[in-house]
Amino acid sequence: MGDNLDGANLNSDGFETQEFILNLGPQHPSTHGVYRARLIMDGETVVSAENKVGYLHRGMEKMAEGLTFSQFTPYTSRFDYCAGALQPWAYVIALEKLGGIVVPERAEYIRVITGELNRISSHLLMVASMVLDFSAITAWTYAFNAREGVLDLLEAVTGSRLLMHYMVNGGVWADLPEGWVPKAEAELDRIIARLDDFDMLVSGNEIFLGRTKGIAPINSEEAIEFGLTGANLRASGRGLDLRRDSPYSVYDRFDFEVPVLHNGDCWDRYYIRIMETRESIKIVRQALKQLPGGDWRAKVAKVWKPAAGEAYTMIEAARGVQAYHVVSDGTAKPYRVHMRSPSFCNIGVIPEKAPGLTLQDFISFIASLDFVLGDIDR
Amino acid sequence: MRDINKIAAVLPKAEVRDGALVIQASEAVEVLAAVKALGGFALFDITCVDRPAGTPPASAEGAVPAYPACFELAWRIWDLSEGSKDILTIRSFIDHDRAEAPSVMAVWKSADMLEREVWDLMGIRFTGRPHLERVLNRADFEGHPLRKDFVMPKRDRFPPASWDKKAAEGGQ
Amino acid sequence: MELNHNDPSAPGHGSKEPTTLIKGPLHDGIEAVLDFCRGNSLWPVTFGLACCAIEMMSAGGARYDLSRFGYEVFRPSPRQADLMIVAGTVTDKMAPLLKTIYDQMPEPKYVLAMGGCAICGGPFTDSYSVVQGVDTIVPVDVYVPGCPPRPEALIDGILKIRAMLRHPELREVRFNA
Ligand code: SF4
Repeated sequence: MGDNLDGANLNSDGFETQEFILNLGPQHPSTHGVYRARLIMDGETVVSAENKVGYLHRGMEKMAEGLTFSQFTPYTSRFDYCAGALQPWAYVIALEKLGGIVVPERAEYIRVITGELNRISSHLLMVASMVLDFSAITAWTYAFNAREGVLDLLEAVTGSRLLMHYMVNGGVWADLPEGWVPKAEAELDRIIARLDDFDMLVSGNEIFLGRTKGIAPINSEEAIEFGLTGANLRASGRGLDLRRDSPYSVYDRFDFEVPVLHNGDCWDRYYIRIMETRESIKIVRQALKQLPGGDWRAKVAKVWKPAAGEAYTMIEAARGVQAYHVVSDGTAKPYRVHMRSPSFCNIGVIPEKAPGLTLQDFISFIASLDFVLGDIDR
Repeated sequence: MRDINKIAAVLPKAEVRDGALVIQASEAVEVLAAVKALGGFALFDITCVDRPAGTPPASAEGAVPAYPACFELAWRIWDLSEGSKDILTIRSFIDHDRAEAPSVMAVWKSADMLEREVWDLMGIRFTGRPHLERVLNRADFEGHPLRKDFVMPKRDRFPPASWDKKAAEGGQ
Repeated sequence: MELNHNDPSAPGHGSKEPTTLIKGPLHDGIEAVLDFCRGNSLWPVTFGLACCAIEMMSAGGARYDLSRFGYEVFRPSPRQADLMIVAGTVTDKMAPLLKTIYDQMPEPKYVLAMGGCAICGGPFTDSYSVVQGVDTIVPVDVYVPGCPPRPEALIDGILKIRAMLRHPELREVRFNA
C-alpha cells in the first residue's frame, strides 16, 4: 500500500475509512522490549506491517574482536537475556571444537541440567508475558512464582539470577553445591504443581482461547521458508529438535518427547511451551539421576590460543536454533564472531502474516512468537 | 548429511573445496535455487567474514586456500532430510572493491532479514531486492562496523550534537 | 528536533523547580506534604530496555512484591507516570526516544538508572552504538548498580527516592559532593 494515505475505503458497515500509520513501540507494554512495528492500519485492521528493530543494537559482535575468547563468554548471555545460562553453550562448543578440548562427562551433565532449568524459566517467562499482554495479571503472578523456584535453583549453582556466566570453555565454572541434587528434585515437584495451576487457569480459559485460537496460523512450509526454528516451528507441525535429531552434549542419553502441534496458531505456539516445559523437567530429573562424578572442567590454559580456523556450531536454544560462527586467526582474540539469532529470523514472518489481523490479534501474534530484543538486535 | 559431492554433481557451477561448495557470487541465485529444488533444504544463515590478504587460516574443518583480500560470504543451508540436521556451506569470495552479491530472497524468503543484516554490518550490497536498508544501526550511521577497516567513532560522555531524531528512526 | 544536552535552556534540562503561583513558606509546606504522599506511591512508566527489565518485572512479581510499598502501578503511558526506571542499555538509536518519553512525563518526575548499562554503558561502554550512561541524556536521581541488580536492589533504589522526597536536603548532599 505504500505511503499513499489518501485513498478512502469502505468497510463492511459501509463507513468510509482511511488508512493511517501506527507506530507500535519501541516503548510499548506489549512489545516485550524495544521492538517497533510500523503498521499501516485501516481502522482496526492491519494492512501491512514492517519490522523496525535495532533499538538495542549493542554491537557485541564487534566488541568480541577486541576481547579474548574467554572474556567474550559472559557477553554471550546478554544476547538472549531471558535464557542466560543456555546462551554461551553454542559459543563454548565452538571454542572446544577449535581448540580440540574434551569436556568432562560431569560438566556435560551439569550443562544439561542448568540449560534445561534455564529453558524452563525462559518458557515460563514467555507464557507469563503472553498472558500479561491480555491483562491476565493473576495468571502472570502464578507463572512468575514458578519461575522464581527455578531461579532459586539456578542461583544456588551459578550465583546469578538472570545472566549466568556459568558455561565456560572446557566445562562449567563451578561444581554443583553440596546437597543441591535432592533439593532440586524436591523443587521440581513444586514447579510442576505451579505449572499445573497455571495450565488449568489459562490454557482452557474462554477469553484466552478467543484471543489465541485460530489467530495467525503458520503452516510448516511457510515456517521453513521463513526460517522459523524452535518451538514456533514445532507448533506448525514440524517436529524438529536438535536435541533429538542431532544430539549435542549428552542429549542422546535421555528419554524425552518432542512435542508437536499442528495448527500453528497463537494457542499452539503458547501451549507448546507448556508441553516443552514438562519435557524439560523430565530431562532434568533423568540427568540428576545419572549424574556422574569426576571433574567439572577440563584444563584450559590461562592465555588460550586455538589453532587458526573456523567453527560453526548449533544448539537448540530456548527460542530456536542458535548458531555461532567463530573464526580464529591463531591469536588469543577471535577474528570474527557471528551469532545466528533465532529471534531475528523468527520475526521475519511478521510482515507476511500480519495483514488482515486486527490490532489486538497482532498483539497476540507477536507475543506468541516469543522474541527477545537482545537476541534480535545483538 | 547427504554426500556433498553428489550435490555438487548436479550443480554445474560449484566446486567442492574443504567440505563446502565454492561458487561465484554472481551465480548464487541459480545455485541456491538448484539446491532448493533438491528438496529438504532451508536457508539457515548468511555469514560474512572480512578476510585480509595473505593470511589463509587453516580451517578446523578443512583449510581455506590462499586468496587475496576479500569478503568470504557463506550461505549456510540446513539439510533437513531424514537422519541429518547438518549444515551445507556454500561459499563465495567477493572483491573488496565490488562488495556485491545477488539477493536470494526470491529463493528463500528468510533471506530478507539475513541479507539486511549483512548489508548493515558488513556492507555487502545485495542486488535485485527491495528495501535493502539498515536493520540494526541508525539510518544515518556511517560505515559498516564489522569490516576490519571500520574506525571506531570517538565517543565522549556526551552524545554528538548532530543527533537528528528523524534520521535516527529511519524516516517516519 | 535538535538535542543539545549541554544547553540549560533545553526542555527538561536539570531544573526541578515546580512552576507555581504560591511562593514562600506556604508553598514549601504544601510541597512537603505532597512530596510525602508522592514518595509513597510513585508510578513508574513501563520502560523495559534490556536484561534489567526482566528483573524489574520480577520485582513486581509475587516474590518481591513491589506493591508492598505502593510502587507497582506500572503505567504504559509516560503521561501518567512520575518515575522512569531506565532498565537496560540505551543505544544511540533509542536515546532520542528515551528523551521524548522523559519530556512527556509530567513534573515532578524522577529517573532511576538501573544497572551498569544505564549508569555508564556497563559492559558495552566500548561499543560503537551504546550511550555511555543515561545521565548524558536526562538527569538521574538514583543509580542502582549491578548487572543486573537484584529486585531487592531496585526496591531499595526506589526507597531511596522516597527518602529523597521526605528529606530534600539529601539531594543537596549529592549535588554538593
Ligand atoms: S546492566 Fe547488565 S543486565 Fe542490565 S541491561 Fe546492561 S548488560 Fe543487561
